[in-house]
Amino acid sequence: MIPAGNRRSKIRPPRKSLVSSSLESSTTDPTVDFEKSWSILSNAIVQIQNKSVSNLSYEQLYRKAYILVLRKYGGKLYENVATIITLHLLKRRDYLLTIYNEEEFMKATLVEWNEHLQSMKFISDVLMYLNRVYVKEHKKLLIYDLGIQLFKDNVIKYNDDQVGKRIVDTVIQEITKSRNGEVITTNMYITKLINMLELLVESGSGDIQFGENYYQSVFEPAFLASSETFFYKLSSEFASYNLGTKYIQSTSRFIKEEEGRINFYMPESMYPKLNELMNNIMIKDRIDDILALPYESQGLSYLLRPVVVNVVDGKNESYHIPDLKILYELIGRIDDEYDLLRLRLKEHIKQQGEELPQQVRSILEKANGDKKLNPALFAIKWIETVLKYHDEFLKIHEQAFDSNSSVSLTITYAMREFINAPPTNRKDANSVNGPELLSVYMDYHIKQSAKTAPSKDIESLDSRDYVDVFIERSIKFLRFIKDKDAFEAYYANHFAKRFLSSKSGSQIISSNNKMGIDIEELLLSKLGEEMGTTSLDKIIKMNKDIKLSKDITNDWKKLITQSTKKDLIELELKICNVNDWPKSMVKDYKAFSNDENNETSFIWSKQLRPTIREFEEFWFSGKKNDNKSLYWSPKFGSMDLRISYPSRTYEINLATYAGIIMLLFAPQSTNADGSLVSAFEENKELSYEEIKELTGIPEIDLKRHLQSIAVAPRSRLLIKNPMTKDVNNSDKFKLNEKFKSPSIKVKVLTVSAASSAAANSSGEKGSSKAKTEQEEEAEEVRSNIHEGRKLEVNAAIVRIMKSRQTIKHNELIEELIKQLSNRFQPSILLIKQRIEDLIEKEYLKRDDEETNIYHYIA
Amino acid sequence: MTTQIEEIGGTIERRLNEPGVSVDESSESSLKKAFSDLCHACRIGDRDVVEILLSIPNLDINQMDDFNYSPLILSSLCGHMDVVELLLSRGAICDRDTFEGARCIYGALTDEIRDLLISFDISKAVDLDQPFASHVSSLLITSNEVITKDIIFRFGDKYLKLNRFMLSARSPHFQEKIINDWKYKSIIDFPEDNFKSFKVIADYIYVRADGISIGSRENHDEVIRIAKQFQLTDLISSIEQLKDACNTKERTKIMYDISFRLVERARSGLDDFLQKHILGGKLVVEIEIPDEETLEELDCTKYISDVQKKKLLETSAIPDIILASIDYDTESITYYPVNKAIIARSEYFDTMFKSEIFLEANRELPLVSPNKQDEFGDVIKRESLVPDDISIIRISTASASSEVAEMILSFLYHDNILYIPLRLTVELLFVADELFLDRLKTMCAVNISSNFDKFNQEEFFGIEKDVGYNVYDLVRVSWKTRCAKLEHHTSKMLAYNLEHIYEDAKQRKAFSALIKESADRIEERHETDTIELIDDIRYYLSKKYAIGEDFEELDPVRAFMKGEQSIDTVDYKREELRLYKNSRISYERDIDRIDALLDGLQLDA
Repeated sequence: MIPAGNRRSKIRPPRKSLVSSSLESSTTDPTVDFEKSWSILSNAIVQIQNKSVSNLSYEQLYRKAYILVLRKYGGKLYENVATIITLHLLKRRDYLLTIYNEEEFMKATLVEWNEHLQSMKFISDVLMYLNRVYVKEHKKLLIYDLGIQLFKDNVIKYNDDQVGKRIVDTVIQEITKSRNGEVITTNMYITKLINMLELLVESGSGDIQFGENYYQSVFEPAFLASSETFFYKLSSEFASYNLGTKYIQSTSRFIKEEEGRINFYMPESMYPKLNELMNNIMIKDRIDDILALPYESQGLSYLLRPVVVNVVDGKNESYHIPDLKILYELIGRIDDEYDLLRLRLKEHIKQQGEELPQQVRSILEKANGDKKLNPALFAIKWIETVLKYHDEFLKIHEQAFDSNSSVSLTITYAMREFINAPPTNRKDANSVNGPELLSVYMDYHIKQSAKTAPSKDIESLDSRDYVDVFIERSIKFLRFIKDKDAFEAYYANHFAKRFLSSKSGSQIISSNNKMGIDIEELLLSKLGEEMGTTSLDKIIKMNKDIKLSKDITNDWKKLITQSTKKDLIELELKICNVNDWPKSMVKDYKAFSNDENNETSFIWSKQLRPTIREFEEFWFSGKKNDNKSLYWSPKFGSMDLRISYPSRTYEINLATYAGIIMLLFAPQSTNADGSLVSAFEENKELSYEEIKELTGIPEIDLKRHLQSIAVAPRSRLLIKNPMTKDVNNSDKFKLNEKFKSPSIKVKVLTVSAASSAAANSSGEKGSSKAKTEQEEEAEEVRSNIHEGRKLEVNAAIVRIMKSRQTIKHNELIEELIKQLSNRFQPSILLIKQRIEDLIEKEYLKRDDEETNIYHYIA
Repeated sequence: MTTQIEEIGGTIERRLNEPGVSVDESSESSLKKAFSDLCHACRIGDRDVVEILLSIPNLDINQMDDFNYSPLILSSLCGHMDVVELLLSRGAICDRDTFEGARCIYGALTDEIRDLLISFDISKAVDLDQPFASHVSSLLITSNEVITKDIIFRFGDKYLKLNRFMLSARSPHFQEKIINDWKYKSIIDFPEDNFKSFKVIADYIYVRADGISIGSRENHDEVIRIAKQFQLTDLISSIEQLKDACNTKERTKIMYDISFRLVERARSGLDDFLQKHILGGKLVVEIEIPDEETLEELDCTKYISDVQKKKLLETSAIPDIILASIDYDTESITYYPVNKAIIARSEYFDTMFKSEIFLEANRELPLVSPNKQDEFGDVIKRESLVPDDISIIRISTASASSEVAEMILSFLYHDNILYIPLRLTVELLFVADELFLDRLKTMCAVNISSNFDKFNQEEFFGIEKDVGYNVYDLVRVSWKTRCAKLEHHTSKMLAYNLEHIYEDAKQRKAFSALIKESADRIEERHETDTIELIDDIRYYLSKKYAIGEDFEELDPVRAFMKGEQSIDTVDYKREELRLYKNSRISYERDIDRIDALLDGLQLDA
């Protein structure tokens, strides 16, 4: 081993040159030194770029670069590398421009790009020391990034973006082809070219990760602009067919394809931009026009048409579910609240809904011929139709609208709107009174269920189903009704009528009892659930009266079976508390009472008088009836009479008035043996005036009932002389010896007041009078409703004022509407009147200074 | 305050207890001193000093000082976030299950430090962050990029792909097998049910401590049986120790011990391997050293015959690459049979092996399965290797010394270099820079700074004799190699000897040249730009003369205003004041000298 001596310190080859200071002279010319190493490195770079690397030594090349950097040639090396790469790239660019076929051009560009990246990786590996030391200290681009930068500047952007523009144009061209439905073979090239453009960071934005790249600065704007034009063109083309379904189908198909394309070719950031563009142009700008297209151009009205056709005409057209679904999806793309769809749908439902009454009416009229339309029938048909209409929309909602909850609300609101449309003109065929019709509907079904029940005794399940179904439907419909109070009023009226007018009240109750349910009771509880029991107060009270009456009937029955008195008659009692029952029915409750009203001339038949006296005694003896008065109302109720005609003996059920008339013809005298003489032997003949005298029945009613028993062909118990239709004051009546009926039981139907009047005097006087009577009843219900509302508004105002003490006018109105809206829609006028009323009554007062502020006066 | 005054009153020169430990003395006493220095640095929060001390091999940073404080606890108590971070990243342990760990967390001065401590769970702190262990561990994970695996242990349809040299380095038994029975076999079959146990053993071989704890739980008896067969005594004792641990707390502690011991054992195993098989198997060829200018062009592959190459290939080092080093002194080339897997620790070699178009990477190696996509397509069929398959690579351009080459190998194989001679330190520093070995660069800088830590005239002029370079050249070396530690140390030496430099014309000239170079280092200088070297020197001057905010209290006016002096302290204060005045004068004199130098160079800074 040679000892460390002069020699070592003298030579130490690598180190000497490494550490040499600028003052020390160097034995070699540094420029020569650089050129020597650089020629080796540049040679290698060229070889790498030409892929002609047969025997490049990494070690050797690294060492060259290492020494150059140590000798402070870093900057020069960096520049030289940039130059040699630039020269290479310019050559490659020229080559690219010789390719005319677009597909070949795309392919070749990618080949160049990939080869460039590949060689840059190797060059960067060799220049690792340069990267780590020189590049880092001078904050330059890493060699690899420099390569990308140079590619961008010398291939893509060189000569005013010549190659770059061609790439962008070609890619856009290819995508346009694909949009036009052509199959393109350049799929992979497009994606890769876009990836490439994304990597080309624009100079100036030094940040490689977040800076803007060529894709963003050049490609994206160009692509969006061309897409915009394309979408416009396409949507105009689709719209030019002037066919709604075709537009939405074509658009939906295109959008789906386009989404696939975007996802396939473009970076994620493109999706929202292009999607918005597409949605705006193809959906937002067009869809409302498409919806508004007339029926024959297949707009929304076409799509929804089957609903009405199916509901009204009972057809079974299939719905345009697929198209509606597409429509829903398209609108969902521009608005996740579906505002437009909901708005148009609502308009539609409303408009069609408003036409329903007229359609229902015309159908009924067609079926009925020229006969006058039965209001009950109309109510039933209309309500059934409306419910079905709703059901059908729910089906569409479920199948096409994804059961979207806000759309379902819209449907409900639309239903409500046309059902509760204020009755503008009563003569208008489309104007309906929802609450009243619902009540009519329910009335009909309650009666119907009572009628059908006995015959279907055994199949009670079916009857129950029937009941359940109609209750369910009624409740469903009730939910659409805004003016709940109006419904209550009508319902109360019907309820009372059912009880009072029914000639077989006991039958309803008893027959339903057999099935274990009282239908009225059931309905009351359902309605109670729906609207709260306080608002049903009156009806509940009436129901109580009914129950009470039933008990008394039973008690009376027991009493007379035990009683020794023979002349007592079985009674079926309907005792009503006048305060709780509709005024129209109880208004003249005192009219038949002798002691209260001397004017009245009504005379009870003598056959009935003992019973009435006995019953009154019995009733007043009841504990609860101490301070009450009892009045009889013969205009309600019925009588069962057994009359022996020569043909046979009949059991005849007839109205109370009619019964009283018939009792006049009962034999008065007795035979020698004490038995009554036959009425036919007596052969009593009474004139109209006599009957009127003997009974005291008001004239209109008298004529009506006489018509029922002397004119009506099936129940001609009496013979009228002369035999005319009308009953005149000079007519005479006697028993009809020839009366015959197929069954023992005969039910005398009372001629309706209107027809009686019409028949009686085809003159205007009678008919107008009858009409007024009907109108009077309706008017009364309306005024009841109105009065009820006054009270409710008053109560609500007081409630609010009590808790707030002081409130502004607008707030008060707002709060009132909120509180009352589930009962009815209070009009502002009504509210104002009520406020004035309460101010007058000194419940509240206006603020001294600000008139729109109210204070509560305790 | 008192201690500082004493220091100032003494030498004034050393305010900081700068580390005086040389890397080559890893004796008990020097380690002890290094640790106390570390604790001091952790108290005052001197991150640089901590970093230097952490590069001392064998220094256990988790031990306690005389007052039962660990460096981590000290830095956390004193609120030095950066030091805490550094310590944790270098393997300091904060285990909440232990009293010390809990104390460390609850004593943390700031919330940030506490959060940091909590986030460093013990399982993370296990030496994985240390470059040596993490590199070795990563070798086990198969990567197709650079093929180094050359043996397969097969258990039915399961198998492990391993490196022969690792097996050999970690177990005498494996070594024996590899040299003899398995020499011409690449697939070794074992009973199928041994797979799990061998997985534990493979983890142990590759210093994956966490594998031991998981694997051994299920089948430790079998692992122990097999470990006995392969004479892995350390593994056996570890498993048995773990088996006895009754709770998690104890277990965690044992796991830490084991992983620490494992790393140490692996280091010594690889050191033995390096000494015995690589250095033992090296080939020295004497050559005629040509003209010095062409030395860097010297092609080492020319001086070795195929027969010699074949011989190297078959040494017990089981090499897959040959590193060559020129030795100028002995006029020879030394060829070392080494393992790619290890030297790839240098990013330079790693890139070389991965950059596939170059000669060094694109050799078609014989593989166990001919098709690369096959199961064994990434395992070398060693028995078919021929000399042509092996590259010969010069270890470095910057060095012409086999001694340096062997230090590099030492560092690559196990991180430790027992002794770095001063005269080779700069050369080693250049090689470390060339090969991107930053830790080694720090070690070189520490080697110089710890041997010349007095900053006096004697050292200033004596350094060239030992290191081979004068201080000016060392500054240049630090610039070239971007070694901040060396730059600071040498700047400080210049600052502390400014007077002598200024008075000596020759030195003055050399210094001026250096200042000019420093100024030139900034391209396109502006009027206001500073010169880094001058800034550093001014900073160290202020430290030398204790001028700074810390000593404002010595300002006469301020001291007077305090008005709390008793009779006793007045004299004392007067003495202080005198010292302060003197050092202030010396400081200003030195500053004037620098300004004069700058004027001479027509520089403004």
